[in-house]
Amino acid sequence: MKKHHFHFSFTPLGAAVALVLMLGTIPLAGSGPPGTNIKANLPYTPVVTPNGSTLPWKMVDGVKEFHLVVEEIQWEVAPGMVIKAWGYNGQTPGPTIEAIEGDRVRILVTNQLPEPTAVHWHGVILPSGMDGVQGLTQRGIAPGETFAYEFTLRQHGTQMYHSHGDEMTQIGLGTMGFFIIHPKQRERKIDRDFAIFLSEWFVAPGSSRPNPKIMTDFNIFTFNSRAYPGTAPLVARTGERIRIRFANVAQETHPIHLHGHSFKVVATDGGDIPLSAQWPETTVLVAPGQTRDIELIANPGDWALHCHRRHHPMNAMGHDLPNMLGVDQADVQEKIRELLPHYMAMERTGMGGMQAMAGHMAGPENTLPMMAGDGPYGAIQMGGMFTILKVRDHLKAGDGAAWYQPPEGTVAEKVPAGQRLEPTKP
Amino acid sequence: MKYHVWTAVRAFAGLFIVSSCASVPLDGGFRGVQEQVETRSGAHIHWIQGKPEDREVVEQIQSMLSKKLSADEAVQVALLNNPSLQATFEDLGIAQADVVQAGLLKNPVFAARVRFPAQEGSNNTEFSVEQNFLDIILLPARKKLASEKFKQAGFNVGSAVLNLALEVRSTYYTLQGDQQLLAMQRTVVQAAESASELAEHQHMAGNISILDLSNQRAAFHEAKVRLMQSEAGIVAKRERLSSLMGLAEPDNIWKIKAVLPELPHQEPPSGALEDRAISQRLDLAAARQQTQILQRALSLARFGVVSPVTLGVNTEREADRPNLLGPTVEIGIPIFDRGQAASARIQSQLRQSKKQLEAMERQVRSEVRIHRSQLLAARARVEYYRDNIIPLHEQVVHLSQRHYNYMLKGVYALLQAKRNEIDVRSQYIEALTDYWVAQSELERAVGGRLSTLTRDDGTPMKNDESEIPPEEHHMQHDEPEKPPEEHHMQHDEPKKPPEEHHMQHDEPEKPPEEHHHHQGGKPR
Ligand SMILES: [Cu+2]
Repeated sequence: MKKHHFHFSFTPLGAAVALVLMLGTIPLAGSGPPGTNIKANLPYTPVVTPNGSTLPWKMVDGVKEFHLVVEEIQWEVAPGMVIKAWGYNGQTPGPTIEAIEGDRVRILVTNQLPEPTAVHWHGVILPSGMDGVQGLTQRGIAPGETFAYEFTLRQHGTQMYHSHGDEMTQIGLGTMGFFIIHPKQRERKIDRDFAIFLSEWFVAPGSSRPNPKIMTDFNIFTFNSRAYPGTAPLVARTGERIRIRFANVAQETHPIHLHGHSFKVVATDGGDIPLSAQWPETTVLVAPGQTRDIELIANPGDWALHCHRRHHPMNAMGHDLPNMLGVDQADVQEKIRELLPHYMAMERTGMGGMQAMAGHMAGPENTLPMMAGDGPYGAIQMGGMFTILKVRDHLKAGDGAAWYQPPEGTVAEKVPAGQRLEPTKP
Repeated sequence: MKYHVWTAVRAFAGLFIVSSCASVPLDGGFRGVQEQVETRSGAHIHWIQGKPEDREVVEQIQSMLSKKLSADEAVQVALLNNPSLQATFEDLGIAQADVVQAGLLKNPVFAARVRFPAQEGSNNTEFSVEQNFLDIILLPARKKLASEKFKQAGFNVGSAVLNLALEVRSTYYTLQGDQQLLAMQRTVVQAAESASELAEHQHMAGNISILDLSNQRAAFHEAKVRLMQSEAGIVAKRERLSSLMGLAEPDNIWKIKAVLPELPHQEPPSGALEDRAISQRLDLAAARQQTQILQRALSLARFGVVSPVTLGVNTEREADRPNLLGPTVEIGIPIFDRGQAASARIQSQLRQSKKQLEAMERQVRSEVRIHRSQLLAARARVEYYRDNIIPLHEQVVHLSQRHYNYMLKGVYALLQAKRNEIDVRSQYIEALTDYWVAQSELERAVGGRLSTLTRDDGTPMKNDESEIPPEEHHMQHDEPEKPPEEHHMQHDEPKKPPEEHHMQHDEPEKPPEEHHHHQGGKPR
């Protein structure tokens, strides 16, 4: 396969950077979340938010105090595409809040948006007046104001926080984040704990501001507001217990599928699912307003993790394009080229060739090609809600960028010439 | 008797020779017209009179027709070859004959009388030669009148030549514009055909319904029938130009240049043009000449008051007496008709023609202003298309292609974007045609080419290129022989619109003839 160098490809360098960022939040040698006073001996495995971060806190009179600033940000969806999103502390999703059941938390919220906002602590059991619904449980936080929310955590689980003022705009532009409450004690140790927010956007090709008025025709689908090939891989060691938390406050349901594993949905935003009630899955459906935690034991390999709606693991594509599958365009192409010298007929054999084409044909500004990514065996032809779970027997630096080396004889190959190829008959 | 008769005849013959030696050289008048036409149109005329030069003219025409004709060449062919124009040239011959006629005295009247005696006796014979004396006196005035008329005929012929030149020029530009539009329409048809073929293939592949296919087919056939209509229109326009150029059917293989010239860099200022029109328009000259003619006619009429005076010699012989020879005089007595009516009539005509001349001059000035403003309006439209609309549509096509590359737009939308671009290019061509037709009209109003500033292809004229800095180059005079009133156009230069300055100064290093290429939206 010819290798095309184009700026949004998932280059080893980009992956290495992503890995370093990610490893920075992995509790190696007992380091705590960045910025905290507590260096070691957390009673939980800190959560990794790929492409994101964890919100630091400090103890103030026995209360864990967090500070969120909601503002407009420049957010890179993937190399080659930067949007004007709204987020917390410079990111979307906002930094992950982690606390422990029983903690008293105080969350300061400073509004730097051009309109009032309020933050709702989705799924958290708290006094009504702390629920953060603008107009219903509190006055809106005016631009420039800082509000304090304070409550004691009486549960554990994967909760969320998100704007509850002008949701169409504010959530539509990215104002949400994880609120993870760890149990005081966990029966089974989790080796790796990942959190992935599912979102969709409409960014008109060639533009940079998501259109919050679009309700169904989204064209960008993201894990933690990043689209493949901008999504960081999840790296783990063979045999580790991995938890992946999914959250959704957008418009669509996302059936998230993990290759190579059977997993169990162990919790929802309502709490833990008893062991006896868990059943094996390879795909978990995450509807708007839900969180789902899955757990699995890592198998070695490079495993695709993606939404199973066909158009979600891909980037923007026109919706009303003529169907050219199987259409012979060779003669017409020459005629059209007389008018449009750069014209290339597409799709006769399918859309897969599009990735190669996008490699040498320019697209609109600030727009990702609908499919991208080069793997060890050629074009991966993916985008959007797609990432890779990389499981290795022995972890070392750079694993996030490297490809899995399969044992001899374990890769599908072309049948040698001369071998009988008769299909089995029923 | 014989002797005396011959004496009388000889005396008149002397008078005749004196009076009639003022014959006009055969093509003297035509040469004048040639010069007038040449300074005004830059084109040459030839009067086919069966002379050896005719052959060269035919060859010249053939050589011009063998290549793609420029507007100037089309004008030139017409001026050399248009049969109606050749017919008009005969007006000069006619006027010239009138001049000769005016220089001829009326033939003297010879009378012979024989009287026979009633009784016996010899015959009485009498011979006389009589000539109207007034005729002799008026001869110089009449000659002057005829030569003024001859001059007027020259102006009229010149004016007819220039009018033909204008008609050829504007027909040429219209045809040229239409040819370009036709080429674009062919592209539109090609786009529609491609879309239709794609739809056929889509249908064959099972991807679209017959309904969708029919829509694409219909769009294609509609584009095609519009093309057919335009092609028919071109045939008629070609025929028109062909007949103006005096070409008969077998010669109809001529071609004109494919592309309209681009805009010249600037227009001459209007004040100068009006004055130039007044001084150089040949129809005005002819009208002015009319007052001259009437003036002459008036003095002639005043002479006419003297009424017929006939002088003569009379010789009489009677057999028995010596011959008598003596002058005779007959004078009309102007009691009843003193010529007052004729003179008053001419005076009225004279006043009338002066007023008409004044009206005509105002009309001419107004025409110059109208056509100049039309020219400027067409220029503004051309520039707007060239600098704004076409670049935007090019951008749309370019970006549509990028959207197509990323599967954000389909091929039909891409083809449609291209068609829209062709549409605005067509509108540009229409505006440019309007510009050149307006320029031809303005030239007609001014009574000659504006070509001191621009060449036929719209580029500025150049003469002593080495001495002139490029940004001023186009204002320079190329033809020093041009009438003086054009010189002050240079002094008006600071009045030209500022944006034209900036067009110039953007790229001062460019050679002047490339100036018109530097615009982004240069249409193809
Ligand atoms: Cu999905």
